[in-house]
Amino acid sequence: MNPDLPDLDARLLAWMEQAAQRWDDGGPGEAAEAEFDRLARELFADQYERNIPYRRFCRARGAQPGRIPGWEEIPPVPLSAFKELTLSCDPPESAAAVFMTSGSTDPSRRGRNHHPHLRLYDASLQASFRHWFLPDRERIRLLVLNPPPAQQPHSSLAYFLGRLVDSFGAPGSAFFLDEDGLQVDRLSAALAEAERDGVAVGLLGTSFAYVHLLDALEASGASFALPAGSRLLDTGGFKGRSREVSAETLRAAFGDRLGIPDPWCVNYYGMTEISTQYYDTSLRRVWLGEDPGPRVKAVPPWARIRVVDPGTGRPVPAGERGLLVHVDLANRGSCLAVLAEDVGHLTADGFVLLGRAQGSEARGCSIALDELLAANGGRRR
Amino acid sequence: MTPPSSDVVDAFFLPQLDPAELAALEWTTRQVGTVPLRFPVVTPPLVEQLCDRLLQAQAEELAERPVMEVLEVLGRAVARWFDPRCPQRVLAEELLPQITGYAPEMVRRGLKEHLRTFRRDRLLRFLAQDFDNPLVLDGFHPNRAGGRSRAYGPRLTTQFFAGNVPGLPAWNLVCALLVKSATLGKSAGAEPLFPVLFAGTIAEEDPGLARCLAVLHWPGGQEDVEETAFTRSDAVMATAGLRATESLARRVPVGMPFVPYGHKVSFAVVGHEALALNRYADTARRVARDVSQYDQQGCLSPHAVFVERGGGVDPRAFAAALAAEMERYERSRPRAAIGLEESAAIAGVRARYEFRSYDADSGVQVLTSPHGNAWTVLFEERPERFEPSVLNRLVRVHPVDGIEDVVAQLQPLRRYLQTAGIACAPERLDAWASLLGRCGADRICAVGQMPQPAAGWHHDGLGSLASLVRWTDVEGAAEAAVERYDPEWTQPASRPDRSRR
Repeated sequence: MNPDLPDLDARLLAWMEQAAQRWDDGGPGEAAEAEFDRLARELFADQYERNIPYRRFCRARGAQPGRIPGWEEIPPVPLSAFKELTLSCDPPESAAAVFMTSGSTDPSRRGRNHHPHLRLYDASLQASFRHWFLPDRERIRLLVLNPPPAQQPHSSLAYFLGRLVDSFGAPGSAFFLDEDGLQVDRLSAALAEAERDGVAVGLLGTSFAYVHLLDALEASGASFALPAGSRLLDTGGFKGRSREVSAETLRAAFGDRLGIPDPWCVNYYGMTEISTQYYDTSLRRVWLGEDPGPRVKAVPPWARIRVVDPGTGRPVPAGERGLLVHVDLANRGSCLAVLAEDVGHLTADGFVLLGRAQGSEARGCSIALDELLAANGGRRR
Repeated sequence: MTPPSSDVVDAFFLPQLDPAELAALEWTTRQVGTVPLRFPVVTPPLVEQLCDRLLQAQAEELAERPVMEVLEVLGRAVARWFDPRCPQRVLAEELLPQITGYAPEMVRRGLKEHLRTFRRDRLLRFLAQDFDNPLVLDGFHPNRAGGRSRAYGPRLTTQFFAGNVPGLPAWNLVCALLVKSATLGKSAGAEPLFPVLFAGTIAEEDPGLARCLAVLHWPGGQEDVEETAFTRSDAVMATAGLRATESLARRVPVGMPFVPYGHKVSFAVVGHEALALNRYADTARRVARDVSQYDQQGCLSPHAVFVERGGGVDPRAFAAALAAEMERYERSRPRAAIGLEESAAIAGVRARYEFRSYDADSGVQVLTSPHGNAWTVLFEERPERFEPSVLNRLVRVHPVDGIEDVVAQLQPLRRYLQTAGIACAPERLDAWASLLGRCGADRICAVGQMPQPAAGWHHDGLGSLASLVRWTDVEGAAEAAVERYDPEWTQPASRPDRSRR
């Protein structure tokens, strides 16, 4: 146990570490399920008690600790709550980290997630990364297509990638993005060196950063055959970007330009508002000698994903599309249950992320919100 | 709910083709809502063939037919729809709710109210609105400049119909026929049936006139088909979203009249007089109807209601009354089932306002349907700016101290404003209309009548007929000058025969 952590936090941490060690890809057993439920309800009670706006939100929905039958009934806060409210259990000024969503330059328009400490956050990110991206070794040379965390103190992504370098980076690990953009020449040199020396590398970055890299490589005609064991992690979409590239197209290009086989290209899904990442299962599967299977994202033992109908808040029938609800025991500082704006559906061993719920094209002559805001030069997160 | 019909329904109108030609087409069946609809697969050669025949029919049936005769036929065809046994009406009332998901009662009443706009006497108003003398459509008649003018409609107009509100295509079809244009109509994917049924009643009244109409469906943006249509048309009229309109605007040949309708925003303004204790509930009922009709999908539907302070009830109480009326409307005419994205959009907006309402000083209140997301009234005292609704019966209520406050909110949207539903004392009508018109509104109507524009309305600020025609003027001086060439003066002079005198 960790004497420097509050009791609940210490128990959550201990349980997460245990659960990570006993991680069963087939899903939690009955005992693990019961323990998850118990901890989730306990954490809910604590957040209800100390997170005042969240308590009000729950009361409006008639949900109270002690009166809910199970973790499924914990009210999930929509993402906009992180913008409109200060959803912090502890005094915001005492937070060890405040991660903010990107987008608007006006801080009051950005979602903020407060973390009183990052022990649970770290435990979550390390366990998932090791399990899904680095099951075969302790360390690997990490080439990061993102700025170092010191340059972006409020970016959860920068923190995440920086922490991965601290925890798993072998000598030669480095960051290749700064205010001036992607350092293509430096990165190309690092790739050439890895190829020449036969050193497997792990590339980390946003999907969009990779598009820049691939464009540059295509322009110069360069390509690499990275040594076996090299792998690539990408995240995120292209919201607000001028180009959209499908995941399949990207992976094909990773194969062509970098020599990384398809299953070793792993996508993960994460958000500022939660403290857990969800990885493609392909790399671990092929490492275990299994068929990589269809692209599915896995849910770690300390989190659950529900898929709900936004009109009713109730779960959709199995396999149908709906909005994702995260229930994340690592999201200790704000709310463990979060309603995302992402659409997906559940599968037997995880879920499929289908993308953001875009405003659908208005029928006929009335105007879609997006169209008008665009025409108006208006803001949207 | 009526059980979904299992019979495949024909969703095309092609009287130009004989049965053998129809049989030779490639066919496809697509389920829209719960109704399987059959369409021909549209190809450039088919469009070419249809355009040729439409042009021929226009020359034979329409070009020289007096406008009043066309009007009489249309008036009789529309009158058929007022008979509850009219087969096309029966089909529309049965199938359109299944196709669109709209409440059957709403479709029934909506169609009836909309089609009234085209009774024979109202059709005269369409003509009168745009032409001092409608006979200019038949021949040259004196103009104010001292000469004579004639208005020629397009021989053929390619039309892109709306699918958001059943019945809307009647407006476009009627306008084209009144200026003697044949129509190649592309029906909307969301509701492709109404224009077919409407054309059917015209065919029963006058098969010759109906040969000037063709209605089919192709996926919007199918460029080879559209290019074939454009090169044979004299005009293009489209009711479509911003992206589709932009795409069309790029492809319509330069110089060809292109009449786009679309992406418009409407709103209501309620003056303090309409909030009197003996008026406010009725006002709320009217506004609720304007918002709820066709689930707010029409460009005529209000996105926001500006409510003046200083009435018998304050704006917050009015918002509560509006919420009660929204619920009442929902019970008799429930909103259509909506998709995941639309649901998510409503949930997102509701959440945002709910969180703001936690701050007692925010001046925000969220009023919602007791279950699900059937309707939402958002009371907001200090909006940052006019925010368009995400639709499906979600409306904002903003208190104001006078029409000037409304004007300030509307300024950024001036290119997109359309209908302003108003409720105020008679003395203020003119001042309000002037200010709202200056802001960009092109229709001022009473609250409660927003979904039903009057016959002849300058749709989106343009003359519905005038925007289609081109003029030919015979100059007055020419009429005088040609006197010089009167044969009596130009034939060789013959000696007067004195013996006859």
